[in-house]
Amino acid sequence: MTEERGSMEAGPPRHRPFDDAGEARLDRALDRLLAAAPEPELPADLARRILAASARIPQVPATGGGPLPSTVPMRPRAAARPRVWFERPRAVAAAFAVVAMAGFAAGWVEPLVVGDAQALDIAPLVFGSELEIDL
Amino acid sequence: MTALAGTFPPALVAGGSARPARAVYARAMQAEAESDEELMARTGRGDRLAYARLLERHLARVHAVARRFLADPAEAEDVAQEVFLRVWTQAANWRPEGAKLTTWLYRIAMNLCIDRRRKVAPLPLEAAGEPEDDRPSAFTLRHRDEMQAHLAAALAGLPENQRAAVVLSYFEGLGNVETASVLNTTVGAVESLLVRARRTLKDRLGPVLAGALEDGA
Repeated sequence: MTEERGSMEAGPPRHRPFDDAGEARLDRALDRLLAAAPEPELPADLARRILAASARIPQVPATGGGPLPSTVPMRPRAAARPRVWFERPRAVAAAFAVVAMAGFAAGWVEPLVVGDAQALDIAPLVFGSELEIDL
Repeated sequence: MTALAGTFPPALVAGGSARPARAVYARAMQAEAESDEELMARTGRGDRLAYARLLERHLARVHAVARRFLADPAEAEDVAQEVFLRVWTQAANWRPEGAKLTTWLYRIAMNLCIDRRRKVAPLPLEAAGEPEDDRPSAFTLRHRDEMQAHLAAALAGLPENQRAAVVLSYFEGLGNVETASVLNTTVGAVESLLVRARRTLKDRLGPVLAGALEDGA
């Protein structure tokens, strides 16, 4: 009570302040109140409803290993989901080899088809066949 | 017959197939001695009797946690149902990993409760109302119910993590280590949550507790 009279703080305290002994009694009263909380009553048919609902839901097959997350849906493991292309090193190597072989083959075939590029003389096409320069 | 056999009709437990009552009883007696881990393993193989046994063992606790955390009884039932449907669907993939099944169940329940509480608009404290009571009215019963209504209102005003710590520690009787495991935090953090929660509860329930002390004295 003396604290209430002597307090210079704005606004009244929310409840009567307690000394240490009072605080301990308050703690015990809170403990008693918490301990006296009644047990929530379990609905009689809840277990039956859950059992009936589970009968309509298929189980997730075992994928082996690893702890389960608590709420997030479990991410499929690598063995259970389709692998993307960059997870297939041999396929990537094979694709690279095919592209390289195609490039090499093109470089080998090209001179046979269009001739040797260095042997082509394009000057007559550019300057005419009878180029004369009068100095 | 066991309580299990009385709780669930054999046809429902057996997934709809007719099963001799003697066989159900024998298997139920065997399930009595099985650990949660063994029952989960059997549930993962589709054994509905093991699943029913898990329900019988843990449904009341999970429902109680949800009911104390959420103000709405229907929401609490939904959470309990969701928890055990996850048990059914994920049983094949569950591994103990050093933690008890109850820890996993409480963790799912808490996360679902927090998710639901964030989705719905919080009710005002006055909405907690008085608990349902169909017993004959008496002054002591009424006084006790009023006290519990005040407690429920004060709990409803606590932050989610403090409320979860109070529900698990004080109502469910979990130790700080297991509470920390359920809430995915440290033991020190749990102790801090409980201290702050008690301080808030005493602050809000101060007049009520003081009145109870005076009545008791």
